[in-house]
Amino acid sequence: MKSYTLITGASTGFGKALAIECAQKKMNLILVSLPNSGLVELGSFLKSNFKINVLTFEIDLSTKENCHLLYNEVKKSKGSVKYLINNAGVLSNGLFENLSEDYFLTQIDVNITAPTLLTKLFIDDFKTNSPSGILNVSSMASFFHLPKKQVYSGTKAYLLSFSKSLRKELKKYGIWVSIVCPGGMNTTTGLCLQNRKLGWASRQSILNPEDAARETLKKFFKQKELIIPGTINKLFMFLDSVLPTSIKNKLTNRAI
Amino acid sequence: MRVFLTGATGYVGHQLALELANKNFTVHALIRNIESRNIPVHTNIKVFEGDICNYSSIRRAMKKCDFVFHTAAYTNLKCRNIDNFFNTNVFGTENVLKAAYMLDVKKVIYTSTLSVFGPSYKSIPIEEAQPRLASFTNDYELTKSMSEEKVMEYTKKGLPCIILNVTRVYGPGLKTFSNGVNRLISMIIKNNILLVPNNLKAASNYVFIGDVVDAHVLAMESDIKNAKYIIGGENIDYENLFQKIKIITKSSTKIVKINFSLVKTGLTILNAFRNLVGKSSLISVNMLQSLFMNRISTSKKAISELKYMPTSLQIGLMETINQL
Repeated sequence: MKSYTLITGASTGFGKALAIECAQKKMNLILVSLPNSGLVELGSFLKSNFKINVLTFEIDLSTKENCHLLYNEVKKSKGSVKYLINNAGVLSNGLFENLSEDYFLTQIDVNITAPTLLTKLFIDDFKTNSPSGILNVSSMASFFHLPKKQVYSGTKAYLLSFSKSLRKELKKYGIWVSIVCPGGMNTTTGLCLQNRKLGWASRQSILNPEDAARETLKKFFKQKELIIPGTINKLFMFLDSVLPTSIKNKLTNRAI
Repeated sequence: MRVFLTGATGYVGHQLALELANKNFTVHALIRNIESRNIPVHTNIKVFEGDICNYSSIRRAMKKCDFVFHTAAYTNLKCRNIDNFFNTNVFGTENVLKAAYMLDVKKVIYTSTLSVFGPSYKSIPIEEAQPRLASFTNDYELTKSMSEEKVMEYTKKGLPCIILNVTRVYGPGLKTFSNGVNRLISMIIKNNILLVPNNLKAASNYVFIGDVVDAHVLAMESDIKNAKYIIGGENIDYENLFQKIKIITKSSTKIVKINFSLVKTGLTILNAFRNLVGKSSLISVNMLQSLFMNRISTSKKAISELKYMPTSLQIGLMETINQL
C-alpha cells in the first residue's frame, strides 16, 4: 500500500495550488474534482514531471454514495490516505431570499457532509499511517459575518468547530487536525477580475493561491491548529478580537 | 468564399488579411477607425466600419461570411485600467462568437497567446494540455484566458472554433505594441552599447510572422473543428538570441549586463518620478518580469495535425533584418 495525500476540489484555485505544492514536496497524490475540469491533465502533468504517484478521480462529492464510491476506488487502487485535505466547496451566490433550494442544499452537502464523511471513511487509514493529518479548508467568512455569505459562512463555521473538537479526539492516535481560513484569493478568472477592481486597501489582503498554499502547508506540517494565510488577514483577525461589535457591524455592513 | 476578420490594423491581422485576399478570399475587415493608416489595401478587402464592442456592427459585417478570424485584442500592458482589457478581449470576443453562432459560420479561428499558460516549468516546453501552474501576472493574460473560456462555451453550444496560442511574434510588419523583437533588433543594429538585465538565461519561444499567418490559414482549411494549438518557432534564451542577431547584423554592440534587482528598483523610482511630473511611465516592473520569465513551448501538435511548418530562427531573423 502506498500512502497518499488526498485533495478534494483539486482542479482549480486553492486546491490546485495545494496539489502543486505537495507535488513539489514529492508527496503522492489522490486528486478529486468535478468531471471536465482539467483534473486529468493536471494529474498527468504532476505525475510525469515531479516523479510522484498520482491518482485522479472525477467524482461529484455532493452525495453520500459518491463519497463511498471515492473511498472504494481508492482502496481498489491500493491507496492509503496519510493526509486528507478537504478543500472542495461551493461558494456563496447572492442574497438568501434569491438562492434556490437546490443551490444551498448542495452547498451544505459539499461543504459539510462530504468532508465529515470522508474524514470518517478514511479514519483507519490515518491510524495506520500515523503520524498523519487532516486539513480542513474553512474561510475567514467563518469569523466575519458578511451579508450574501449566509449559508457559506455557516458551513465554514461548522468546519471550524468540527475540526477543533475532532483534533482533541484524534490526538491520542498521532492524528492532528488543522483548519485553514483563507481570505480573498485569485482563484477563478471571475474572482481574479473582481479582485482587481477592488480598492487599493482591500486589494492588499488578496493572496495568490500559490502563496497561500505554501504558507498553509508549512504550518500544517508544524501541526498548527488554526492557519490564517497572509499578513493583512492576520491583522484582520487581531482587529476582530479587539474591536467592539458595534464598530465591526458598521464595517461589515458597508461590504454589502 | 468570404471571411470576416477583426484586428486588420494590427500586426498579425494586417498580414493575415492580405494573405487571405491574395488567396482570393473576400475579406470583410471590421475597422474602428476608417482613417487609420494601417488598413490593409487590396481589391479583395472590404472595409466595414465598426467595433467588436458593438454587436450590430459585427453582425452587419459578418453576414454571408464562411469563416471568422478574430485577431483583435487589447494588448497595451502600460494601461492600468482592466476595463480596457475586459471590453475588447472578453466582451468583444463574446460578441464575435455570438454573431458567428447566430449566423452559422463554418468555423471561428481565434488568435490567442502562449501567455495564458503562464511560465514554463523548469526545462519542460509548454504543451496544449499543460495546466497553468501560477497565477495571472497581468490583465492581458487574465482577460485572454477569460476569452478562451468564452470560446469553450460556444464550442460546447456547437460552434466550431480553433484557438491558436501564438508565442512571441517577430518579423517584418506594422510597428505595433506587439513586436518587441523587431525593436530589439533595431537597437542592436543602431546602438553601440545595449544595457540589459543580467538574467539572460530566460528562454522564450519565437515565431515568425509568416508562420503565424500560415497557421491561421491552415486552421481554416483543416477538417478539424475544435482544437487548441500552440503556434511557435524555436526556443532560445536571450544570451543566444542576442548573439545570433549580432552575428547576422555584423553588429559590434557591446552588451552590458546590469543586476536585475537593480534594474527593477531603478525602474520603480523612475516611473514614480515620471508619474509625478505627469509623463507616461516606461515599461513597468511587472512587464519586465514577464519578459524575463521562461516561456518555452512546443508546436508538435500543430505540426502533426495542421501540417504546420515553422521557419527556423536563422532564416526568420535574416528576413526580418533585410526588411528593417
